[in-house]
Amino acid sequence: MGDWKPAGMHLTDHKTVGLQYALTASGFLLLGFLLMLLMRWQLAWPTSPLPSAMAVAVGQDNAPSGFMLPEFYNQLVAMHGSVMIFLAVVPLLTGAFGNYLVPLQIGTRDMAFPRLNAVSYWIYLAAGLLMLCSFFVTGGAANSGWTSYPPLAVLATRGQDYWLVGIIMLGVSSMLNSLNVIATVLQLRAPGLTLMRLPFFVWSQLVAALLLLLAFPSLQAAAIFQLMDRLAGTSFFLPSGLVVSGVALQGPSGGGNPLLWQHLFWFLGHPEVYVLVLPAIGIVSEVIATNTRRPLWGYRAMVGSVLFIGIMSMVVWAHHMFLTGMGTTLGTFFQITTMIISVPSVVLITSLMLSLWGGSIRFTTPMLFALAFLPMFGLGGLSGLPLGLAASDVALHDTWYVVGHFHFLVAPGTLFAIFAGIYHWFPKVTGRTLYRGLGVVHFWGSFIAMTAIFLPMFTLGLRGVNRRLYDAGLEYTHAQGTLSIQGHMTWAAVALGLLQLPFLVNLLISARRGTLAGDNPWHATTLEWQTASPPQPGNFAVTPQVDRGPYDYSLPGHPRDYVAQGERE
Amino acid sequence: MIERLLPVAGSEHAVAFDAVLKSVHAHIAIQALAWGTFLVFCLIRFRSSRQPQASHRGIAPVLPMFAIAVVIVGDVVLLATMALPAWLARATMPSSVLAATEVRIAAEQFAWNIHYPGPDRRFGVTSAALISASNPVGIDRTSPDGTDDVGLLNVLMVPVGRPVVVQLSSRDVVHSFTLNEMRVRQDATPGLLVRTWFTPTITGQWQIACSQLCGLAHYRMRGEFSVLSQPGWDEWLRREVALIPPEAGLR
Amino acid sequence: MNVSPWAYAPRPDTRISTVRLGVWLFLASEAMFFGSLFSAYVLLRTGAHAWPDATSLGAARALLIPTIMLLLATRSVRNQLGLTAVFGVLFLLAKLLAFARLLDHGQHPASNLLIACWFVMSGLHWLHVAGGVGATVWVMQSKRTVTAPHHAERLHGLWLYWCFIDVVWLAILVSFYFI
Repeated sequence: MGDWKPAGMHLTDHKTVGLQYALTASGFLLLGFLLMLLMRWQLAWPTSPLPSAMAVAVGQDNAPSGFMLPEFYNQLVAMHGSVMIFLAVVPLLTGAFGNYLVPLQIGTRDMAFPRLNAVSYWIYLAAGLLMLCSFFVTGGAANSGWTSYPPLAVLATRGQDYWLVGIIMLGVSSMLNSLNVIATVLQLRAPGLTLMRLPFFVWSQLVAALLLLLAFPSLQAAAIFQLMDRLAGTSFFLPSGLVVSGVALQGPSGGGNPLLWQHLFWFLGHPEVYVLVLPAIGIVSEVIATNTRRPLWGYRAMVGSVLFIGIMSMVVWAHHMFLTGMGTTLGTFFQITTMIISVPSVVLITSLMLSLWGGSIRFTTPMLFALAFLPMFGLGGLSGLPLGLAASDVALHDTWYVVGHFHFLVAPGTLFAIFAGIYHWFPKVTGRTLYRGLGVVHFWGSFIAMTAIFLPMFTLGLRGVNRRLYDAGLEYTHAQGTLSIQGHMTWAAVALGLLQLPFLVNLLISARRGTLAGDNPWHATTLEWQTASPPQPGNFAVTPQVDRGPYDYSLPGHPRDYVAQGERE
Repeated sequence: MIERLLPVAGSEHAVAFDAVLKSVHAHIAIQALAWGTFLVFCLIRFRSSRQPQASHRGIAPVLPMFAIAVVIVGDVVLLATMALPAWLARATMPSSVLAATEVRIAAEQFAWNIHYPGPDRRFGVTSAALISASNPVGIDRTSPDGTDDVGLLNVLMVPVGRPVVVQLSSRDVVHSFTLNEMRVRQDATPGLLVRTWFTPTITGQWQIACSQLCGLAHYRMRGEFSVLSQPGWDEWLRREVALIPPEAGLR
Repeated sequence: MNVSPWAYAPRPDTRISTVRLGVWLFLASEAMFFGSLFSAYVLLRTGAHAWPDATSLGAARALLIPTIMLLLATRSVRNQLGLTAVFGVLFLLAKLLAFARLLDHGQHPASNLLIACWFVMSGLHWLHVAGGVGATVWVMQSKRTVTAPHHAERLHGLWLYWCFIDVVWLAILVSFYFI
């Protein structure tokens, strides 16, 4: 930091880094989607060969004469999850939205450490490419799930090493990014922009950054241990006396503990869930405030809740481990903490719902996605309840119910928030507006397709059908009645893919030919709308001076229905 | 509605667990319905064409506080009166387990090795060196309690009406021992011996499933699982003991 | 030039400079990292049937010299930055020799969990010292390109970092040898 050179600005400017993150993560999102389609095809028609185009793409090694091998299916399972979480959705929320918007919303020129910010992007890119390279090494990519439980992951093929190194690098990248976000928010706020005047989006980014900063190191440590187990012959996660395929495992001394990995993994894993969720709520909050023309209801309670979630998310991790045989004290503790953390989440979603009351609701494209986010995300959250109680978890753990639960949170939940954010801020980034017609098609199509994919998963789970099964449960009698549902879900996934075409077309055409947006097309209050679209280098011609809260919409007795945050009386 | 989807409840604790499941889902349904109605109402009532001027103040805080309080109370009641008691009752093994049928199950990629103590109800010594196709558990037939032990691959037979205690372990990776109809799901972690138990209340033929991704053939790591009447089970055990090959498992 | 006014001077409402806050946040993340390593060590050790004696890592007094090197490196940050780098490098070399000696005696990471923990934890600490030496050289090199208050903030950050590595090293020593 320190040397702000206009010539070198290009690669360290927060807007450039944000867009780099956005494009790269979108690429990974598409890739994760394609991996999912392959997986879905196999689940829908487990005994038939893949269509020839798919079979060619997958290759003879992975699908001899078109029949997918279980080895390859397991790679798809692991890599779909890893790509979506670590390379697509989190980087979109924090790297893209966070980098681009936080400095604008707090009225400053750039991040606190612009060069570290650029470095964070390049490490992320390298880590992502490394993980993808693993598809081409002997034995293919990582195949032990995104959770990489040992001993399976320790015994797995070479691809797991790539996965582990990738995770360690991503830890460095996310540390640099989150450190930057926190320092930026705390230190670079425009004059008069006190913490309680911050837009809620900034709060959500701040807490997400804190979680990444403090929780990711635990997965990094775990990944280093697992890498040592695989490469240096240690046994951090290998107990004594392992017999693999009838042969006693030679070499490792034993004495390790497979549960150690699970603890270290979920110590990150659960806060990571809130990293996927909080910035999404932040985006939706901005869109809802703008399009209801009134302040967020219960802003203070929301800020309190998001901070409380941040703290509590560090003490709920073992609710992913109810079935490991944990003692009653620990089990009771984690069930109680899990119930407690559901309360601030309820406060957040309730506040957003209540914000609608008394509003003057404009059904713009971003607002459609933000409104759909509420029930979809709500359903995702509510379906977490039976999983958080050990007694009901027994019937549902590791079934499709779990898959339905977190996909409702992340796909029609977080992903809809991301869509809402793209439609909302596209005019700011490009200076042009997206066509509404294509946006409405994109919205209703995605809404219906997402529901059709994920809602049946709950019924599958209640019937006791397990996830991660290569043949969708063909081997099990209790799953027989569910096999046709898999086909429906696959067609819905194909439809979802096709329905993204209007979106892509919209982005490409509107970026060049869309109507000029002007500085503040939505008549929004927060600071990013008080500068040019797209913002010039340095963001603001004059540093804004703030002496009001973020959502001064529809002030009584005011001629206009909004007063911008940087506006002086 | 949920009970139509759930597998048959075949054990004593399954009833209590299903009650939790149903109450939680009722809780979810009520909340979803209430909020859904609220959302639709707001979208119609407060659309900009009908409500051109928004209210800066919005809804008064009394009603929302009440709504949130209802949710919290619902959560607490569910947890304290149903979920925790049901789970704690199962986490502590009752003394009646003395009369239990005991089996040891060692999971491996991709099979369940099931060790019955035989009519003497005492487990003989096992040894990894003795494991073979005809002796999947590796029972040492020279050990005093081992002569009548039965070791089977992927076949779990238990009598109805009495507690069954499963001593679960794994030889290689993490598996998860699953009996859907008994509402039993328990991770088998290598290096760890855990016990799980259930009391079957109905007879029938089902399957053992593996719920934890354990490798390429995880999807077909299933076993047979039958609950027999007590006489039927006694008869089955007698036949299995008679089938023990005379030389197998001798050092 | 155009950086925030609070890069090196404390911002009135947060009462800290941006550089210093950045260092503290980095150290918080590092503390969680080493915290995870230590909790893993504790879990493995308490769960073990038998835990080998620490003397198989070599006598504790052999580590006295590297420990003094490390403390001297930290002490020199304030006045003699060059010495910090020198002492840091000496620590690195002394530890490399110690690792080599262990391997010579047939003590590999694969031998048992104690050795494995030692190699991973003190190895990662070694990497952090190497990073500290790198950072020291960078701060020395760039002294002439930045203003005096900026350099002073960097020095303070560097000093915090060296203190952190000292604490980690002492914690490793104590937990492996004296508990």
